Amino acid sequence: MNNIQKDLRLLPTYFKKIAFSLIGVSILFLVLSITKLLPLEKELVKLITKNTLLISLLLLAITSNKVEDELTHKNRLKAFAGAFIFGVVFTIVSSISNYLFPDFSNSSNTSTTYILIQMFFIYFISLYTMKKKES
Amino acid sequence: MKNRLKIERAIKDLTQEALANKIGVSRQTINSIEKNRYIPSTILALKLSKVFEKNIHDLFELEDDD
Repeated sequence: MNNIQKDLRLLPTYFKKIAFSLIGVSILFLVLSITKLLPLEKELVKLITKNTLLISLLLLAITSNKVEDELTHKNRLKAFAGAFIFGVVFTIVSSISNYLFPDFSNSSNTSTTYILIQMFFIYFISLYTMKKKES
Repeated sequence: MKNRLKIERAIKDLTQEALANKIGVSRQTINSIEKNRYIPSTILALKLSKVFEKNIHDLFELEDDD
């Protein structure tokens, strides 16, 4: 473990495999439930899939790359900031739109998961774009 | 900040990848430093000066706007 890894308290690289396995398991679980091979309540399936996906994305976000250096460190912070700003802006815009158009508003729980997943995607896309730009 | 990293690397006949491996960073980091898109930390600058057996001032130079 290098200093950068210690600074950001990143998880070791093998956690990426665990995260991808969790995504695989949640997709399999979802498919088995949809095809009725696994007789479970729809709400329970939704709850398990949603939470597994969030845990997997979090693991992917906080796991170190094979080569983790100070530039990666800087890029991670930029990407986190971008995702956070997006989350705040999205929350403000969606709360205003829910107020203005109450008929189209979703439940608060669904929106929270939706915002978090979008924030993770913003984070991954930002990191990928910065890495490509530096190549 | 200007730097002579690309020139020194050519003198030592090192690829970006080889230099990156020597100091434990990614190739992208070396590329960004060479293109003046990223200013390395003191630790990284010292590691580079050690690889090239040069003084830091021979590798990096402040510009007027720094």
